[in-house]
Amino acid sequence: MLWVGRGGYTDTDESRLHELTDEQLVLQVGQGHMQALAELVRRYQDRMLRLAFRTLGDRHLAEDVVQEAFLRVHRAAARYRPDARFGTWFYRIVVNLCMDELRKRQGQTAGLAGLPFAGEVSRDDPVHHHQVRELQMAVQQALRSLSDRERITVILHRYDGLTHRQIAELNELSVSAVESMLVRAYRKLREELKSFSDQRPEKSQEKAGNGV
Amino acid sequence: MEHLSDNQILDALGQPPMDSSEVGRHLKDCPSCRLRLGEFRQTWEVLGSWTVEMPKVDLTEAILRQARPQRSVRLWQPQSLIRIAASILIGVGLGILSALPVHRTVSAQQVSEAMHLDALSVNSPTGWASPLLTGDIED
Repeated sequence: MLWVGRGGYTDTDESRLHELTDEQLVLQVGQGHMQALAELVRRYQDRMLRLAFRTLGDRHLAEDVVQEAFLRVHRAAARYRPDARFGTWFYRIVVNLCMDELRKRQGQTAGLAGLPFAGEVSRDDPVHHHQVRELQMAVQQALRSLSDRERITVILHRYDGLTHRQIAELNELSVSAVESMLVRAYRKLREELKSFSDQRPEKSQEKAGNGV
Repeated sequence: MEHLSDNQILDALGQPPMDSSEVGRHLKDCPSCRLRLGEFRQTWEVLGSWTVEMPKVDLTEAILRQARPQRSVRLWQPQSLIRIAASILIGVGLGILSALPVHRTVSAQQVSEAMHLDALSVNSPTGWASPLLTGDIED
Protein backbone atom coordinates (compact mmCIF):
# COMPACT_ATOMS: atom_id res chain seq x y z
CA MET A 1 0.00 0.00 0.00
CA LEU A 2 2.42 2.61 -1.18
CA TRP A 3 -0.20 5.29 -1.25
CA VAL A 4 -0.23 5.41 2.53
CA GLY A 5 3.22 6.97 2.58
CA ARG A 6 3.79 10.65 3.21
CA GLY A 7 2.39 12.76 0.44
CA GLY A 8 0.97 9.79 -1.43
CA TYR A 9 -2.65 10.36 -0.49
CA THR A 10 -5.25 11.47 -2.99
CA ASP A 11 -9.00 11.92 -2.91
CA THR A 12 -9.55 8.79 -4.93
CA ASP A 13 -7.85 6.82 -2.20
CA GLU A 14 -10.65 7.63 0.26
CA SER A 15 -12.66 4.73 -1.08
CA ARG A 16 -9.85 2.46 0.06
CA LEU A 17 -9.65 3.71 3.63
CA HIS A 18 -11.44 0.64 4.87
CA GLU A 19 -8.49 -1.44 3.69
CA LEU A 20 -6.14 0.29 6.08
CA THR A 21 -5.32 -0.91 9.56
CA ASP A 22 -6.22 1.29 12.51
CA GLU A 23 -2.58 2.21 12.93
CA GLN A 24 -2.26 3.30 9.29
CA LEU A 25 -5.39 5.39 9.67
CA VAL A 26 -3.98 7.20 12.69
CA LEU A 27 -0.86 8.04 10.71
CA GLN A 28 -3.11 9.48 8.03
CA VAL A 29 -4.99 11.50 10.65
CA GLY A 30 -1.64 12.83 11.82
CA GLN A 31 -1.05 14.16 8.33
CA GLY A 32 -4.36 15.98 8.41
CA HIS A 33 -6.57 13.54 6.47
CA MET A 34 -9.95 13.96 8.07
CA GLN A 35 -11.57 11.08 6.20
CA ALA A 36 -9.17 8.74 7.96
CA LEU A 37 -10.52 10.07 11.25
CA ALA A 38 -14.05 9.51 9.98
CA GLU A 39 -13.16 5.90 9.19
CA LEU A 40 -11.83 5.40 12.74
CA VAL A 41 -15.04 6.89 14.12
CA ARG A 42 -17.09 4.47 12.03
CA ARG A 43 -15.03 1.52 13.26
CA TYR A 44 -15.05 2.32 16.96
CA GLN A 45 -17.97 4.54 17.88
CA ASP A 46 -20.61 1.87 18.57
CA ARG A 47 -18.34 -0.26 20.72
CA MET A 48 -17.07 2.75 22.66
CA LEU A 49 -20.52 4.24 23.13
CA ARG A 50 -21.70 0.97 24.69
CA LEU A 51 -18.63 0.86 26.94
CA ALA A 52 -19.07 4.47 28.05
CA PHE A 53 -22.80 4.01 28.57
CA ARG A 54 -22.31 0.88 30.66
CA THR A 55 -19.71 2.66 32.73
CA LEU A 56 -21.42 6.03 33.15
CA GLY A 57 -25.08 5.08 32.86
CA ASP A 58 -25.89 8.18 30.85
CA ARG A 59 -26.31 8.17 27.09
CA HIS A 60 -25.48 11.84 26.52
CA LEU A 61 -22.48 11.70 28.77
CA ALA A 62 -21.33 8.60 26.92
CA GLU A 63 -21.57 10.47 23.61
CA ASP A 64 -19.59 13.40 25.03
CA VAL A 65 -16.89 11.10 26.31
CA VAL A 66 -16.55 9.23 23.03
CA GLN A 67 -16.44 12.46 21.05
CA GLU A 68 -13.75 13.85 23.30
CA ALA A 69 -11.79 10.60 22.95
CA PHE A 70 -11.78 10.90 19.16
CA LEU A 71 -10.76 14.56 19.38
CA ARG A 72 -7.85 13.56 21.58
CA VAL A 73 -6.82 10.99 18.99
CA HIS A 74 -6.94 13.74 16.39
CA ARG A 75 -4.81 16.07 18.48
CA ALA A 76 -2.24 13.40 19.32
CA ALA A 77 -2.16 11.65 15.95
CA ALA A 78 0.87 13.58 14.68
CA ARG A 79 2.90 12.17 17.57
CA TYR A 80 1.50 8.62 17.27
CA ARG A 81 4.01 5.82 16.79
CA PRO A 82 2.53 2.69 15.24
CA ASP A 83 4.40 0.39 17.63
CA ALA A 84 1.54 1.01 20.09
CA ARG A 85 -1.69 -0.69 19.07
CA PHE A 86 -4.39 1.81 18.35
CA GLY A 87 -7.14 -0.29 19.96
CA THR A 88 -5.35 -0.45 23.30
CA TRP A 89 -4.48 3.23 23.17
CA PHE A 90 -8.02 4.23 22.31
CA TYR A 91 -9.58 2.01 24.96
CA ARG A 92 -7.23 3.63 27.46
CA ILE A 93 -8.37 7.12 26.43
CA VAL A 94 -12.04 6.20 26.76
CA VAL A 95 -11.54 4.40 30.08
CA ASN A 96 -9.58 7.33 31.50
CA LEU A 97 -12.23 9.81 30.39
CA CYS A 98 -14.93 7.65 31.96
CA MET A 99 -12.95 7.48 35.19
CA ASP A 100 -12.59 11.26 35.15
CA GLU A 101 -16.35 11.62 34.72
CA LEU A 102 -17.03 9.21 37.56
CA ARG A 103 -14.64 11.12 39.81
CA LYS A 104 -16.33 14.42 38.90
CA ARG A 105 -19.72 12.96 39.71
CA GLN A 106 -18.59 11.59 43.02
CA GLY A 107 -17.58 15.10 43.98
CA GLN A 108 -20.98 16.48 43.03
CA THR A 109 -23.47 13.81 44.03
CA ALA A 110 -23.66 10.63 45.99
CA GLY A 111 -22.11 8.79 43.04
CA LEU A 112 -23.61 6.67 40.34
CA ALA A 113 -26.49 5.54 42.46
CA GLY A 114 -28.50 8.56 41.41
CA LEU A 115 -28.04 8.05 37.70
CA PRO A 116 -30.80 6.69 35.50
CA PHE A 117 -29.12 3.45 34.56
CA ALA A 118 -31.40 2.42 31.76
CA GLY A 119 -30.44 -0.30 29.34
CA GLU A 120 -32.71 -1.14 26.49
CA VAL A 121 -34.84 -4.22 26.84
CA SER A 122 -35.92 -6.12 23.80
CA ARG A 123 -39.70 -6.19 23.58
CA ASP A 124 -39.85 -9.11 21.16
CA ASP A 125 -40.86 -11.46 23.94
CA PRO A 126 -43.55 -9.71 26.01
CA VAL A 127 -44.02 -12.71 28.29
CA HIS A 128 -40.55 -12.39 29.72
CA HIS A 129 -40.29 -8.66 29.34
CA HIS A 130 -40.87 -7.82 32.97
CA GLN A 131 -38.61 -10.58 34.22
CA VAL A 132 -35.81 -9.59 31.88
CA ARG A 133 -36.13 -5.97 32.88
CA GLU A 134 -35.96 -6.89 36.53
CA LEU A 135 -32.85 -8.97 35.89
CA GLN A 136 -31.19 -6.17 33.96
CA MET A 137 -31.88 -3.74 36.77
CA ALA A 138 -30.39 -6.22 39.23
CA VAL A 139 -27.28 -6.55 37.08
CA GLN A 140 -26.87 -2.79 36.90
CA GLN A 141 -27.44 -2.51 40.63
CA ALA A 142 -24.87 -5.23 41.30
CA LEU A 143 -22.33 -3.50 39.06
CA ARG A 144 -22.93 -0.26 40.92
CA SER A 145 -21.95 -1.99 44.15
CA LEU A 146 -18.41 -2.35 42.80
CA SER A 147 -15.76 0.34 42.95
CA ASP A 148 -15.37 2.39 39.77
CA ARG A 149 -12.16 0.59 38.83
CA GLU A 150 -13.66 -2.85 39.50
CA ARG A 151 -16.78 -2.03 37.52
CA ILE A 152 -14.90 -0.83 34.48
CA THR A 153 -12.63 -3.87 34.65
CA VAL A 154 -15.60 -6.25 34.72
CA ILE A 155 -17.26 -4.36 31.86
CA LEU A 156 -14.11 -4.65 29.74
CA HIS A 157 -13.81 -8.34 30.60
CA ARG A 158 -17.43 -9.40 30.33
CA TYR A 159 -18.89 -7.17 27.64
CA ASP A 160 -15.91 -6.15 25.54
CA GLY A 161 -14.22 -9.53 25.73
CA LEU A 162 -10.80 -8.15 26.60
CA THR A 163 -8.21 -10.51 27.99
CA HIS A 164 -6.59 -10.01 31.39
CA ARG A 165 -3.42 -8.86 29.64
CA GLN A 166 -5.25 -6.31 27.49
CA ILE A 167 -7.08 -4.91 30.51
CA ALA A 168 -3.81 -4.71 32.41
CA GLU A 169 -2.15 -2.89 29.53
CA LEU A 170 -4.80 -0.25 29.13
CA ASN A 171 -5.18 0.28 32.88
CA GLU A 172 -1.41 0.35 33.31
CA LEU A 173 -1.62 -2.36 35.93
CA SER A 174 0.07 -5.72 36.26
CA VAL A 175 -1.77 -8.77 34.93
CA SER A 176 -1.88 -10.28 38.42
CA ALA A 177 -3.43 -7.07 39.80
CA VAL A 178 -6.14 -7.24 37.16
CA GLU A 179 -6.77 -10.92 37.85
CA SER A 180 -7.10 -10.30 41.58
CA MET A 181 -9.47 -7.42 40.89
CA LEU A 182 -11.58 -9.54 38.56
CA VAL A 183 -11.79 -12.43 41.00
CA ARG A 184 -12.78 -10.06 43.80
CA ALA A 185 -15.35 -8.31 41.62
CA TYR A 186 -16.92 -11.54 40.31
CA ARG A 187 -17.20 -12.85 43.86
CA LYS A 188 -19.04 -9.69 44.93
CA LEU A 189 -21.27 -9.91 41.88
CA ARG A 190 -22.01 -13.56 42.58
CA GLU A 191 -23.17 -12.59 46.05
CA GLU A 192 -25.23 -9.68 44.74
CA LEU A 193 -26.86 -11.77 42.01
CA LYS A 194 -27.26 -15.01 43.91
CA SER A 195 -31.03 -14.87 43.87
CA PHE A 196 -31.08 -14.39 40.11
CA SER A 197 -28.56 -17.02 39.15
CA ASP A 198 -31.04 -19.85 39.07
CA GLN A 199 -34.11 -18.05 37.78
CA ARG A 200 -32.91 -16.44 34.62
CA PRO A 201 -35.72 -16.21 32.10
CA GLU A 202 -33.45 -17.39 29.35
CA LYS A 203 -29.86 -17.45 28.39
CA SER A 204 -29.50 -14.07 26.82
CA GLN A 205 -25.80 -13.87 26.41
CA GLU A 206 -24.41 -10.91 24.67
CA LYS A 207 -21.56 -11.93 22.53
CA ALA A 208 -18.39 -10.36 23.81
CA GLY A 209 -16.33 -8.91 21.04
CA ASN A 210 -12.58 -8.67 21.29
CA GLY A 211 -11.53 -5.66 19.34
CA VAL A 212 -8.34 -4.50 20.98
CA MET B 1 -2.99 -31.46 39.12
CA GLU B 2 -4.00 -29.19 41.97
CA HIS B 3 -7.37 -27.50 41.99
CA LEU B 4 -7.79 -24.66 39.54
CA SER B 5 -7.04 -21.16 40.72
CA ASP B 6 -9.74 -18.52 40.51
CA ASN B 7 -7.82 -16.95 37.63
CA GLN B 8 -7.90 -20.21 35.70
CA ILE B 9 -11.62 -20.46 36.35
CA LEU B 10 -12.06 -16.92 35.06
CA ASP B 11 -10.07 -17.77 31.96
CA ALA B 12 -12.24 -20.82 31.41
CA LEU B 13 -15.40 -18.70 31.47
CA GLY B 14 -15.06 -17.56 27.91
CA GLN B 15 -14.04 -21.00 26.65
CA PRO B 16 -16.24 -23.88 25.58
CA PRO B 17 -16.83 -26.20 28.54
CA MET B 18 -14.55 -29.20 28.92
CA ASP B 19 -12.17 -28.39 26.09
CA SER B 20 -9.06 -30.43 25.48
CA SER B 21 -6.69 -28.12 27.36
CA GLU B 22 -5.11 -29.04 30.66
CA VAL B 23 -7.75 -26.99 32.46
CA GLY B 24 -10.49 -28.70 30.48
CA ARG B 25 -9.13 -32.15 31.31
CA HIS B 26 -8.90 -31.21 34.98
CA LEU B 27 -12.47 -29.98 35.00
CA LYS B 28 -13.59 -33.28 33.57
CA ASP B 29 -12.13 -35.14 36.52
CA CYS B 30 -12.74 -32.64 39.33
CA PRO B 31 -16.32 -32.10 40.49
CA SER B 32 -15.21 -29.46 43.00
CA CYS B 33 -13.65 -27.26 40.31
CA ARG B 34 -16.63 -27.93 38.02
CA LEU B 35 -18.88 -26.63 40.77
CA ARG B 36 -16.79 -23.48 41.21
CA LEU B 37 -16.72 -22.92 37.46
CA GLY B 38 -20.47 -23.38 37.41
CA GLU B 39 -20.94 -20.66 40.03
CA PHE B 40 -18.73 -18.22 38.16
CA ARG B 41 -20.46 -19.12 34.91
CA GLN B 42 -23.88 -18.42 36.36
CA THR B 43 -22.74 -14.95 37.35
CA TRP B 44 -21.14 -14.51 33.94
CA GLU B 45 -24.37 -15.44 32.20
CA VAL B 46 -26.55 -13.29 34.43
CA LEU B 47 -24.29 -10.36 33.64
CA GLY B 48 -24.75 -11.16 29.96
CA SER B 49 -28.46 -10.51 30.28
CA TRP B 50 -27.73 -6.78 30.36
CA THR B 51 -27.82 -6.06 26.68
CA VAL B 52 -27.41 -2.48 25.61
CA GLU B 53 -29.03 -1.45 22.39
CA MET B 54 -27.94 2.10 21.85
CA PRO B 55 -30.01 4.17 19.45
CA LYS B 56 -28.14 4.51 16.19
CA VAL B 57 -25.89 7.50 16.66
CA ASP B 58 -23.31 8.69 14.19
CA LEU B 59 -20.77 10.96 15.80
CA THR B 60 -18.73 11.38 12.61
CA GLU B 61 -20.07 14.79 11.63
CA ALA B 62 -19.89 16.24 15.11
CA ILE B 63 -16.33 15.05 15.52
CA LEU B 64 -15.15 16.26 12.12
CA ARG B 65 -16.75 19.64 12.77
CA GLN B 66 -14.79 20.08 15.98
CA ALA B 67 -11.56 18.65 14.67
CA ARG B 68 -9.57 21.06 12.59
CA PRO B 69 -6.94 19.83 10.19
CA GLN B 70 -3.71 20.09 12.08
CA ARG B 71 -0.57 21.59 10.67
CA SER B 72 2.34 19.77 12.10
CA VAL B 73 5.20 22.13 12.91
CA ARG B 74 8.56 20.80 11.91
CA LEU B 75 11.66 22.64 12.97
CA TRP B 76 13.54 21.83 9.81
CA GLN B 77 10.99 23.45 7.54
CA PRO B 78 12.28 26.68 5.87
CA GLN B 79 9.55 28.84 7.36
CA SER B 80 10.35 27.62 10.85
CA LEU B 81 14.06 28.19 10.30
CA ILE B 82 13.43 31.76 9.16
CA ARG B 83 11.31 32.40 12.26
CA ILE B 84 13.99 30.97 14.53
CA ALA B 85 16.75 33.02 12.84
CA ALA B 86 14.67 36.20 13.11
CA SER B 87 14.04 35.56 16.80
CA ILE B 88 17.77 35.08 17.42
CA LEU B 89 18.63 38.28 15.52
CA ILE B 90 16.08 40.31 17.44
CA GLY B 91 17.39 38.91 20.73
CA VAL B 92 21.01 39.71 19.87
CA GLY B 93 20.04 43.19 18.68
CA LEU B 94 18.20 43.96 21.89
CA GLY B 95 21.18 42.71 23.87
CA ILE B 96 23.59 45.00 22.02
CA LEU B 97 21.31 47.97 22.43
CA SER B 98 20.97 47.44 26.14
CA ALA B 99 24.80 47.28 26.52
CA LEU B 100 25.44 50.63 24.77
CA PRO B 101 26.59 53.61 27.03
CA VAL B 102 23.88 56.05 27.84
CA HIS B 103 24.48 59.77 27.01
CA ARG B 104 23.27 62.07 29.73
CA THR B 105 23.18 65.85 29.94
CA VAL B 106 25.32 67.03 32.87
CA SER B 107 25.29 70.43 34.43
CA ALA B 108 28.37 72.74 34.54
CA GLN B 109 28.43 72.41 38.32
CA GLN B 110 28.64 68.60 38.11
CA VAL B 111 31.53 68.95 35.67
CA SER B 112 33.40 71.42 37.88
CA GLU B 113 32.92 69.20 40.92
CA ALA B 114 34.14 66.19 39.05
CA MET B 115 37.29 68.10 37.98
CA HIS B 116 37.84 69.57 41.49
CA LEU B 117 37.96 73.05 40.04
CA ASP B 118 37.10 74.43 43.47
CA ALA B 119 40.72 73.88 44.40
CA LEU B 120 41.58 76.76 42.08
CA SER B 121 39.21 79.22 43.69
CA VAL B 122 40.51 82.24 45.53
CA ASN B 123 39.53 80.99 48.99
CA SER B 124 40.75 77.48 48.45
CA PRO B 125 42.91 76.15 51.34
CA THR B 126 45.29 74.82 48.75
CA GLY B 127 46.31 78.38 48.05
CA TRP B 128 46.90 77.54 44.44
CA ALA B 129 45.07 80.64 43.41
CA SER B 130 46.89 83.08 45.85
CA PRO B 131 48.87 85.89 44.22
CA LEU B 132 52.49 85.05 43.80
CA LEU B 133 54.96 86.59 46.27
CA THR B 134 57.69 88.73 44.92
CA GLY B 135 60.35 86.26 45.97
CA ASP B 136 58.70 83.55 44.15
CA ILE B 137 59.72 85.06 40.97
CA GLU B 138 63.21 84.47 40.09
CA ASP B 139 64.67 86.37 37.37
